[in-house]
Amino acid sequence: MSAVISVFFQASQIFGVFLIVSLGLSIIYGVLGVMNLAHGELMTIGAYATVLAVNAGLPLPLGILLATVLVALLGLVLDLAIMRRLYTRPTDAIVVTFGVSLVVIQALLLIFGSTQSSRIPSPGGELTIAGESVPTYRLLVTVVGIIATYGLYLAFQKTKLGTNIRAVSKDEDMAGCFGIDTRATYTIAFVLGAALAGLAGGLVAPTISLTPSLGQGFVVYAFVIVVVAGERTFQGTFLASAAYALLDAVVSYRFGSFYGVLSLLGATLVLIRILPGGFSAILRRPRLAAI
Amino acid sequence: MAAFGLAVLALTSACGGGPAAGSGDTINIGQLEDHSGNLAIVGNQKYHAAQLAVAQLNAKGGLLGKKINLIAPDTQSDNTRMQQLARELIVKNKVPVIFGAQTSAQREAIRPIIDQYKQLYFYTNQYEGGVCDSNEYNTGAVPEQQVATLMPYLVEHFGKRVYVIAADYNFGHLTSDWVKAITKASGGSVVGQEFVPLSQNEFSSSIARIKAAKPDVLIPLLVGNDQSSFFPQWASSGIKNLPMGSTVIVAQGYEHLRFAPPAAANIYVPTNFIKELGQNNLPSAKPFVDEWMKMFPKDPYINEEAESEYDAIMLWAEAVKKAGTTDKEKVKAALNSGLTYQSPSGPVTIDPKTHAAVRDIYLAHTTEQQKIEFPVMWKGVQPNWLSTVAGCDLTKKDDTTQYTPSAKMPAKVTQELKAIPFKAKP
Repeated sequence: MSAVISVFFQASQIFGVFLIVSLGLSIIYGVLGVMNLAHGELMTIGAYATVLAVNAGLPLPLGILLATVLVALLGLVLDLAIMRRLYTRPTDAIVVTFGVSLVVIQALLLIFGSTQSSRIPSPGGELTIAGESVPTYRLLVTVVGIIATYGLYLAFQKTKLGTNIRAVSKDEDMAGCFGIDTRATYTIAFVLGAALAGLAGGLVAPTISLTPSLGQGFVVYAFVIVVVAGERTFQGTFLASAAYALLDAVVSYRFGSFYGVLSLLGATLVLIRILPGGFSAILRRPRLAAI
Repeated sequence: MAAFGLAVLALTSACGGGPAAGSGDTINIGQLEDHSGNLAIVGNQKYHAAQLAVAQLNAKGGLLGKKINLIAPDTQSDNTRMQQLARELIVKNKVPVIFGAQTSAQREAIRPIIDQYKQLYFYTNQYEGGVCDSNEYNTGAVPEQQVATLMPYLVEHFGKRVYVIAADYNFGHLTSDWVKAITKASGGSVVGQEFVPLSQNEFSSSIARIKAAKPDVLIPLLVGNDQSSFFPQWASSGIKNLPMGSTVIVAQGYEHLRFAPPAAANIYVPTNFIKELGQNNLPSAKPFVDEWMKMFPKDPYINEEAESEYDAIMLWAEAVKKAGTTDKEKVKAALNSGLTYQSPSGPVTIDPKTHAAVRDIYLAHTTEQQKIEFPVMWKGVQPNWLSTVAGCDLTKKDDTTQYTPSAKMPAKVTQELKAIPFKAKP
């Protein structure tokens, strides 16, 4: 029984990180149709910015907020300078964003060296639930992830801007005919994705060793989650993150974390074969899925 | 395309004009360390150690009346690049000696090249032990010095149940074998172990597994920047005051300075050197630390390997003086004569049978506030499992094998080790 509870809490910790890293990538992919290979590096910048802000005396939540805004602005610059030329060239976008990621890693290396002392104590200590002690902060990250996902989902469904973004992602030409500024809409979506990367970086900063390549470790998971999430940005990413967190937790607990990673990659291969539409496809056929 | 071709041409011709070793009034020496990438945190310290050693030797007039010139290309935490640069140092620069390489994977990647050219080579990391190679000398600490001292101490003071979490490559596996054997010999047992990939930075599953095993002592043998994420995650896991022991944490990656307490509190590390030893603890280490900080005031730390690297270069210089030449075979003969160098942390003597160093080991412990104290030390610990159990004797026959602890050649202590209280002398 205690093993089940332990695995559950473990899964809920990983879930938060998976969700928040994947969501930004998923929005950019879903709306713009391009893969942003520099997503991990935007996250890294968020983590560095948070640590620098906290070391300069700001409280952690403010530091994370500042990092989110900073990375959003960087996203804006990136979009105006590079990305908007590549919306219609998704293959080129992969190469270019890969280049951006290399430049960012090397720049961080030049500025901060190979490692930067973080020295942010993980806030909140730990909670004891059902006899298991769980790090409060990690659970908080999961809660923030769920709130951000639900909040953005509502914004995409209920606001005019959200409707515009959805319209542009479905049919750019038709949306343009209805007077929607498609360029601006794309830019907004990219900045939003970047901001989420910054937020993710800020949130993981107190729990991680700060290195120029830290984002890459997370973004590997984010890529496979986006792949198996399918076309529904929010529900698909949410379900895929939850399923993968649970799978990783169960396999890692039993066999070690190396096999956890292996199981995720294996599951992706199988899922692409048997469920090409990803987790979104389950949602589209609720009755079939129930059977 | 034409421009690219021209650039390549320009590059190659520039390389062709490089100076050869020993020409004129300089002696070129080679070093292979990572200045960038996942392993740069240690690589840069070892690079600085070499710069300091060379500067000090040159300030005293160099060697054999010649200035020493350090050739230290960046190996970028990349094994293939390290092999390529090793070949270049030997064939193109014709250096009489090479220092460096960090992980055991890197060392094993270049050792065939070293042996092919019978190159004189110093490996200066603490490592899993067992290398018996006519061309290689080790100044870093080995398991006889780190595991055989640490495990009896931990089992005696904290309990019999030991858990090992180690990096998934030869260093982690072989050191874990040592931990298992010495723990058993000390009356304890390893109740669980996990090997994690070098790039891993998420440890919630590993921590859950450790919790479930309920150990008395945890042995983290984690390596590199990514894996040190274990410590901040461990700090919020809810487990308080579980003593940890390691051969690499603190002494190699200075986790006690990089992470806020209590992430790296209550860790025991037996080591030949760490910076704190030179700060009001060991008088002979003080000038070394002072001069280092004068030359590299921005350096965050001086670790065990930085001193081993410095020792290796100084030891080589002693051997060159004794041999009166930089000729590889003559310098090897001088080293094999049982040469001793008075290092910042005590005498370092090459054991002619195994080419490993006999040296003093200090037990470092991080307090709750992550300050360093030294409860005990061991004097002149012999690296002698290799000669007494594995049968390595380089004075009798040439060899290039790495012997590993197994059922046939068990990892065990073959000398009486006595922990003596360490008295700090301000």
